[in-house]
Order: sequence, then C-alpha cells, then structure tokens
Amino acid sequence: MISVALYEKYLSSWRFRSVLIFTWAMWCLGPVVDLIIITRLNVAIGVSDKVMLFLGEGMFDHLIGTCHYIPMASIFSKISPPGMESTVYG
Amino acid sequence: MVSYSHFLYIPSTILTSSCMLSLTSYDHTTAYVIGMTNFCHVLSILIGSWVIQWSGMITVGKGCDFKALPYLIVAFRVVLPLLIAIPAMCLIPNVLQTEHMIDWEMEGWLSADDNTNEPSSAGLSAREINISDGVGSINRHNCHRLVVANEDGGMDEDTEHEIT
Repeated sequence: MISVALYEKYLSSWRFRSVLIFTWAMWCLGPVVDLIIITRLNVAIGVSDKVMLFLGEGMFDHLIGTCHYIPMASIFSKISPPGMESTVYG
Repeated sequence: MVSYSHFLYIPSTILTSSCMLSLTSYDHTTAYVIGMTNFCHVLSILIGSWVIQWSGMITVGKGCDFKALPYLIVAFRVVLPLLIAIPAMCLIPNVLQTEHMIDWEMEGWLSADDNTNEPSSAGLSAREINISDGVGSINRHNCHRLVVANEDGGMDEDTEHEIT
C-alpha cells in the first residue's frame, strides 16, 4: 500500500524509461543491506540482524519491487493486442 | 518480487502478438520462447555454480569460507544487473505512462486490406478474419472498420466502410 501510494504521488507522471531505470537502480541497491549483514557492520553500529533483515528483504525489496512492477504491468497491458489480453497474460 | 523474467515478457509478448491470429505460428513462437527461457535459466544456474567454485568459497562442511561472498554480491547483484538491464531499458519507448505504445490499427488488428487480398500481419486477410469462426471470431469484435483499397492499390482512409 505504501509503495503504491508513493508511486502514485511521485512516479506516475514519469516516462516509462525513466521510472524503470530509477526503480531498477534502486532495486540494485537492495543487496547493500545483505552486505551490511555479512560484513557485520550492523552489529558494529548497534542494529540487530533481525532489524536489518526486516529493513532489507522484508521492506526495501518489496517497496522497490512493487514500484518496479507497476510500470511493467502497465507496459504488458499496452502491448497486449486488443481482445487478446487473457491469452497474452496466460 | 522483481525478477529478470519481467524483461523476458516484453519481447515474448511482442513476438507472440504478431502471430496471434495464426495458432500454428503462435504455438511455435511460444514453444521457442519458453525453450529459450528454460535453457537460459539452466545455463545461469550452471554459471552461478561455476562462479562459486571459481571464487574459492567453501559452502559445505566444517571449514566454510565465505570471504568472497561480498565481492560476488557486488559483482553479480549490483554491477551486472545495472550494466545489463539499464541499457536494455533504453529499448523501451520513452513515452508517458498514459500514452499508447502500439498503434493497433496500423498493425492490422483493427482494420485490414480487403480488395488486394494481401495477407495481414497474421497471414489472414480481413475478409478471412471476419467470416471465419474460431480464431477469427476473436478479432471480429475489434474489426469495426474495413479499409478498402483504391484502384491503384493504395489505401484510402476516406473509403472506410462500417461492417455490420
């Protein structure tokens, strides 16, 4: 819900290419959280592994993932031939 | 949630949509795309296994060693997706999200040549599409207009007739 609201407010007026590049670049920053856990930097700054896992895999990935999925779904709906949407989606 | 398969859907949808009225070519195209997908998926797993082995990591047993894991994550989950996916996105038309991407009338889905009997993009003329059952009936609802060719063979938008 949060990601849909953020997308509607900030990204819905962007062009397809811009929003896809932006969301993909953000998604590529997701593994940085994994890097922090692996290198134990989170323990050094006093953040537990559970919190870091929640922030990374649990929240950040889904937030960015939804923002990336919305324009992709929009593209699919636009390139589906008229009357053949169910076939293309199936 | 986000996966590389999203990018596969776009060319596969374009490919299959161009032959949707001909079920034989549709089946062949779908089989070809799915075959490539499965092959590349298996190939990526094999390459990943080889990279883990090549990096010197020990993932089983008592002497596990994951020193190379941060470098692999940076290389294959940050840098490589950026290098591949972002140039690939430049192939997507840079239009607003409210604009149409494909002119279906120009592609022959909403109107087609009748007199010249030239095959449409799907290999069927407009008359064949409209009078046939089965596959053709899918497009019948969308063929609101029939473009009739001039005497010299050219297309004239003013001679469009309504199909009843």
